[in-house]
This record gives sequence, C-alpha cells and structure tokens, in this order.
Amino acid sequence: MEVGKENGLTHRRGASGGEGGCSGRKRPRAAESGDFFDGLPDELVISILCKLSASAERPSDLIAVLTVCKRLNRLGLDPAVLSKASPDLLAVRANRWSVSSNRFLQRCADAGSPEACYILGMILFYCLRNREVGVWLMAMAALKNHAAALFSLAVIHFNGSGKLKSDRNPKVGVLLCTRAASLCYVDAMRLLGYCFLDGHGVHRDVSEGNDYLLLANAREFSAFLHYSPSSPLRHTRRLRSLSEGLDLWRATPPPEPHPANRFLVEWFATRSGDENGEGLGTCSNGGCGRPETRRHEFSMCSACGLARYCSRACQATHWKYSHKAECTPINQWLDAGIMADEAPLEGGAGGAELVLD
Amino acid sequence: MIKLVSGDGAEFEVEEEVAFQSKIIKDIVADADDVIPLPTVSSKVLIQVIEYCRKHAAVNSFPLSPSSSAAAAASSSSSISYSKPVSDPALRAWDNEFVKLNNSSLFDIVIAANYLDIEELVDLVLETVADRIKGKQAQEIRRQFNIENDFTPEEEEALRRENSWAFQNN
Repeated sequence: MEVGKENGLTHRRGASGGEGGCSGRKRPRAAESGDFFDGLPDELVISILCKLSASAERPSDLIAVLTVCKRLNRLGLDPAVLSKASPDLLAVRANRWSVSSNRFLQRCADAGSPEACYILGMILFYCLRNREVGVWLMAMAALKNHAAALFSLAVIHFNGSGKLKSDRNPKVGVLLCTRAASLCYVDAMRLLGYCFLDGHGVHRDVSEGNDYLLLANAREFSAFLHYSPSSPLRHTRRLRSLSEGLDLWRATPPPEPHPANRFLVEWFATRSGDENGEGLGTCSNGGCGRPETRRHEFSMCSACGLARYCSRACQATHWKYSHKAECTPINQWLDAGIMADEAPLEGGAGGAELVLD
Repeated sequence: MIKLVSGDGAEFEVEEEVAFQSKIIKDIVADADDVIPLPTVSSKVLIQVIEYCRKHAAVNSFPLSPSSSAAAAASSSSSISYSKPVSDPALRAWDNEFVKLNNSSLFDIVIAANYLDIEELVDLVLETVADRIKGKQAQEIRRQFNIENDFTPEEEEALRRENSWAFQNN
C-alpha cells in the first residue's frame, strides 16, 4: 500500500483545512509565488477533485494528480472523490491488470462508486472466476440502480452462469431486466421484448414484447441522434427526413463498448476462456466479451449454428451490425460443401447439434 | 444600495439584488444603506466578483433571457415543454468568458466567493480548475499551480510503480 501510507503522515499544509464547515472562510489569499492550492481549504480541493473524478476521460486524469504532492495524494484518495469516479476513470486495460489496478478499483468500490462495483464485479466474475464476490459487487451496483449491473445480473440468471444448467432462473432474469429497462437500458428492453415474445420467464405476450422491441429501437435511435459523435444533429446540416436519419443510424458503427465489456474483450482476446480445454467460447457480439462459464452455455445462431450469444440482446446487436451480412444458413453451406468437398459435413452436423442444445 | 468595503479600503456601492447573490451578505444585511467591510477581499478581486454578481442578478431577476424565452415560446407550440431550462446558454457563454483568467486570479476569486458564499461562482471556478488539471502529467500540474514536489525519491519511485497501470498505450 505505497500510496495509502501517505494517509498516515501529518501534513505540513492545510492542517486546519478540513475541520468545520466554514474553516476555510478566513484563509489568506494565495501568495503571489506560492502553491495556489495552499490558499484553498481541503473541502474546496476535494470539490475540484470530485469534478475531475466525475468527468475524467482516462485513469491517468486522476492518477497523475496523486503523484503531484502529498496533500493532493491524500485528498485525491478521499472517498468523496473516489465515489464520483466516471466509467472512463475506471477503464483499466486488460494488459495492465495488476495488484495495483485491482486495489484502485477496490478503493473506489469501497468508497461507494457503483461504476467501480460493476466493473470490478464483471472482472472478478468472468476473468478471475471469483463468481461469488463478482456477483456480490454487481449486486451492490444494482442496488444503486446501476442499469448495466442489473442487466449483467439478468444475463447471469438467464444462463445460470457459474453454476449448472439446471440453475438457470429466467424469472429472476426477467425481474432484473424489467428494472434495468425502467432505467432506459436498451439491451434490457430488447431482451425483455424477446422474453415476452417467447414466453421465457414470463407469460407470453406478443404485443408487450413488440412494444419493448420498438421502445429499444426508439431509445437507441434517440441516443444516436443526441450523443453519437457522427450524429447529424452535431453537424450544421439538418435532417431532411426521419428516414434519412434512420439510414444514417443503420450505417453507423456501434457505440463504444462499456469499459467493463472492453476489458472482457481484451482479456479473452489474449487468453481464451478455454484455458483448460473445456470447449468454452465467448459471445460473438464483438462489444460484449462475456465468456461461457460451462460448455454449451450460450445459444447458437439457429441459421448458421456458428455464432453464439450470451443473450438475445447481443444477438440482435450483432445481427444489426455485422452478422446479417455474414450469416450463411447451414443448409446453404452444407449444399456448397457437398458440391465442392465432403469435409464441412461433419462440422455442419456439429453445428446443428449445438442449435438443439 | 449596499456599500461593500474591500480589504484595501475601496468602497463599492451595489444594488441589493447584486449583493444578495452572496448568501452571507443576504444573511447579515438587516437594512439597506449598510456598510459591509470585507477585510480579506482585495478591490481587484471584489471588482470581478461584483461583475459576476451583477450579470447573474440581472439574468436571475428575469426567469428567462430574451433569447431563451423566444426559444421557449417556439417550443411551447409543440407538445414538449420545459419547466425550467437547465442553464441559459447565453449565461453559460458569458461564464466561460468570465473564467478566462490566469490561475492566480482564479484562485483569488474562488477564495473570495467561498468567503462570501456565492455557490454558483465557487462551482464555476472549481469546474474550471478541474478542467485545467485534466489530461496533464504531474510535472505540468506542479508547474501550472506552483506546487512543490514534497515526495522523497523513494516515495516517488513507489508511487510510480503503484500507478504505472494508468499510464500506457492510450
């Protein structure tokens, strides 16, 4: 705990700064050539660092401040600052995962940051296979209405991830999804829509299902219009029609994945989830990164039998952005195989079996 | 009118609604024509703070500025109505211009604003300082804010090791 050690040292500056709400009011103005922060009471410096933490675009935005001087190191690790951490501040890269980065995420989680609870929970659950603590941390985030955490817990319950196939619990999945959907989380609305259409974990209700799918699309389109860097509303040109906007939306690459998903993708890109030769794959949706926790956990694309997905939400996303163009139905490539070469037949049969699973 | 006296003895007469942007002054003023000494605030800083309060008092006294009320009228014809705009864009632009100051002036202003309890001004300046820290290396931050590096070489090395995960390939 090299950094934490600093907390124990008595600081030569601002010793009176933190006590009482108005202790800062009678402080001398910053000396012309002195440390500007010397003039500020701790509470104001913490406010600055809270704003920095909440708007950070990368981990180094706050971490650099910790190495400036002892006072900023102490105040930068204040729970108030860490609890405001933005997702990008916590965006640890998989190739830099270490005891230190783990400790930083843990500190933020302990300080009450829902983002840190979620990201650390995902890393522990899927990458380090510490399922119990991972789920617990995600539940902490979910209790604070973290939509992605609610959705991730739903996926875990739908699939019985980390447990047996018989432990799948779609009813709990639907409840968690409903909560995430009420927070306007698009993947949850979509997954819920398919649950209603299929009667999976809930009474079948086609019109309710269609409503959720429509709502998910509308929400996604609206987010594209308002927040996407390639949004037509960002440029001076105006949309001539709604259909033009829809065409632009369809042609736009998917939004950046959440830091937790990016970590999973990077982690399993270098070491497959199949370290022990258990025949485990990862979700085919490139922005997801979730691995299977047991054989045949994920469902396969019923047309090609090659792509596998952690959820219908990921399948829909992957279909829209790439699979639609690359999916070749089994019967087609079987035919092609018979004509060109006999070899793909066996593989094809294997694929078909997986669909049934 | 309320008379404010800076630390260096300069007197400033301001309207009540301007002075009342400061919660402290609002609390202590019983009658008009009061003289309020502000011994810790220099006249240079007080001029800037009054400039800010004047602008915000003028905007706050009308619920909407002309430009945004026109926008509100336009939007009221559609079904969408906003109870209150998040922030007046014209005022935001004015604020952004206002904080284009060197660090020394900014810190003087935030200390005065904190003393006078002008919440919005404190917030504005702190936000600006946070933006100036963002994306910089430790050495640049030290130079920009005159901060002395008080770590021993050993402590620095330990910090470097502890935090190396955050500095890397993008």
